[in-house]
Amino acid sequence: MKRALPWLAWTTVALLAAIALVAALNLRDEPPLDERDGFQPTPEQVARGAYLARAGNCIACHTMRGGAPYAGGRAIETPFGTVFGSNITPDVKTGIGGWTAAHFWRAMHNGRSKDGRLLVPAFPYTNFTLVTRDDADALFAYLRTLPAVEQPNRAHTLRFPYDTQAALAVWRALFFAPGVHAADPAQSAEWNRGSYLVRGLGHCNACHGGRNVFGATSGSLEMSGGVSPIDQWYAPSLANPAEASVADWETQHVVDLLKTGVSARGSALGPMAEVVFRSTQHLSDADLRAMAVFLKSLPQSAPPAPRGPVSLAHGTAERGRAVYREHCEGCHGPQGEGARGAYPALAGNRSVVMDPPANAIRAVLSGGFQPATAGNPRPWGMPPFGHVLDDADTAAVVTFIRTQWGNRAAPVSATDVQRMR
Amino acid sequence: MKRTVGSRRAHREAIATDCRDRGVNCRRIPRDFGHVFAVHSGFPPVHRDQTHFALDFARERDCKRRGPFGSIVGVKTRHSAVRLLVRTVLTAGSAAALAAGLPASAQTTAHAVPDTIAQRMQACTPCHGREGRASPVGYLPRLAGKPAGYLFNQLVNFRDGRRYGAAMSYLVEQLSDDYLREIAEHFAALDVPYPPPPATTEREGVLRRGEVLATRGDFDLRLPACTQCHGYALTGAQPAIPGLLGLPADYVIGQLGAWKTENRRATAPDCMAFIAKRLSSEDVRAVAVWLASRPVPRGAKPAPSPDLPLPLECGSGLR
Repeated sequence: MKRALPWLAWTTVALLAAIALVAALNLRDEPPLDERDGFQPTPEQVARGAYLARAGNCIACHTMRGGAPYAGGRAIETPFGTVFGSNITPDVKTGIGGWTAAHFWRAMHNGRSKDGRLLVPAFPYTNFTLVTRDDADALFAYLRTLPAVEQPNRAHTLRFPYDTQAALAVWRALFFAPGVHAADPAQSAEWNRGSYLVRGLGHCNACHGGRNVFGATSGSLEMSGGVSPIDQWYAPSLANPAEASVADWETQHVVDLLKTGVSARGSALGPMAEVVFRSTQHLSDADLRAMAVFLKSLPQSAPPAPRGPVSLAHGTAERGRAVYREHCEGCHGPQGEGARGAYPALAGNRSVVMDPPANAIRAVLSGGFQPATAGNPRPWGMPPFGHVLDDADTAAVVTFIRTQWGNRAAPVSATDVQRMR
Repeated sequence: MKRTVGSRRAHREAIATDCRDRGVNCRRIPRDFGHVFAVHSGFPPVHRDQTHFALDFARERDCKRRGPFGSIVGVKTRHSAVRLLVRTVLTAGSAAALAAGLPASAQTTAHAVPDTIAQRMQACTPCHGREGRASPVGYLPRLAGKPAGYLFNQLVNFRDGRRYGAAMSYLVEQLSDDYLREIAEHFAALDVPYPPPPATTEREGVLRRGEVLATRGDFDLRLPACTQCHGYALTGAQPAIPGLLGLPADYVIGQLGAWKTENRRATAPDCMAFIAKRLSSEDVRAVAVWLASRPVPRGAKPAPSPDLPLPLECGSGLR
């Protein structure tokens, strides 16, 4: 018993020290809150806030399907449970009507709610911490002009222990530090503007960045690609020439893609179509150009070694060819060459040969339209074949397009397809 | 037409490896005709990689296919020297043209599709059929000839969460009102014949109950007849009341059930929700199978306008 006492004491001290450290790390860069509400926004601030809300695509998570804009309720599936977007209309009871600009700034910069609770990082404050106070104030000014909607927030349904403040505190101590966007004097003003938008409000790496087992991205420059929780689309790496790197694209093509959803080099489908539809199509050409310049400059990962011919199980190519002839050839052409201006080529298409093959499978199962934008108001559609083709046929045709016409990618199994259903 | 990639020996080895990987039996590879052969044998006329080109050619010409139990099941294409010579002569001109002048891009983008709204709506065909004429068997509803206002309302309802269908909601999620209206008008304008109704095996009593509900309603349940809104001929009315004939019974059952459980909603006041909630499950079934058993009159069209006043207030019937 006598020996246990010092041991117990030391453990207690260590524990207390750890708690103090976590608490201190959580309170970094937090000046005392100015509770006075003397915020008098100008019309220019409101207009800029509306623009910035688009740049941050706030509406996507803070609005449920068919619901009042910004009144919350959209379910966001995460590996740790479901998070529900909150009501950020100026309703005093259920929204942020009782907040001051300082509260809003603390939420954006430090990830804490009005009452001091730690916010779940599904709200990407790991990115938004880079947003300037001016821009945060403009956003707040805009949100205050929205119609107040009384709609109580739905409680997140996270599993234990992820639903506790203690777990969030530890997570934040490990993976979050408030920051400012430091301009790189070696780069142009345009590049720095792009960097600010891509890494900050744009929160591109929320999807395009890989995440570790704790759901944390490893820094806002990390663009190594990640499987999106939305229907298991794969958000390809923006730094990998074999995935979605735009280093060898013309700047204008990147701008086109973000502005219209289509470009000479590729088009947006799935979650990226939503991003273009709700967010990037509304941004100014100057900002899109800045983002393009920055994205083109991302450090590139090594290109993958060229693959040799792919070996297929007997009959797979024949089965895939038969399905392709029946369902795909009419639009994508007998040689997978696509139809100019309408349907993408499959030969040499990175999305087709990418690993993981999630997007090729998802496109066959769900089809989809490019977003309807001012620059492409009447998009062409791809049918969903999930009702028509079984797992084996889907696997055969995806394998077929991944291995024909010079495409050299790994075959897809029926199990891969089953997982995506 | 001389191939220039690698040595002949390396070429043979590559082909042998490729054939082995694909489970086909390769024989001696005497010589290759490269480009010319591939062009007129129906092979891809354009390959960015000449090696793959030659591989394809050689595989097809020199490899026998192996069946699942290892037996050789036959030579797919083995042309005699004479046939080969004839074909070569016949197509030499075009092959030379391909090889000599045209850039690769001109050949790869030869495929073209018509720029029509029907072509843009290929996304709808696997479920709703060619020209939106899904048949009355199965589950999926026909679109052709429905009033444009009704189709537009449904597209918007799917987009905005008043109707549930993962595939539909996903497809229309990023489409604008203008485009949805154009899509609705496209399908509304299609005038394609209806097939005869499928034979029904339903009991006479059920069909009779369905007919009573559809044509006379039920006074005790405060149910108007379907015909009061959907038209005497049940072919609907412009701008937004759909016809009820030519639909699969299961689809009608599904929709009335969805209204009962509020999984399908329309702009308030939601008259069909009011009606569906007064229908028992047996009545839902009866009216659905009776409707599905009715032939669609030749040249059936929605009436230019509904017979006013409607028996119920309807949020979307007149828009």
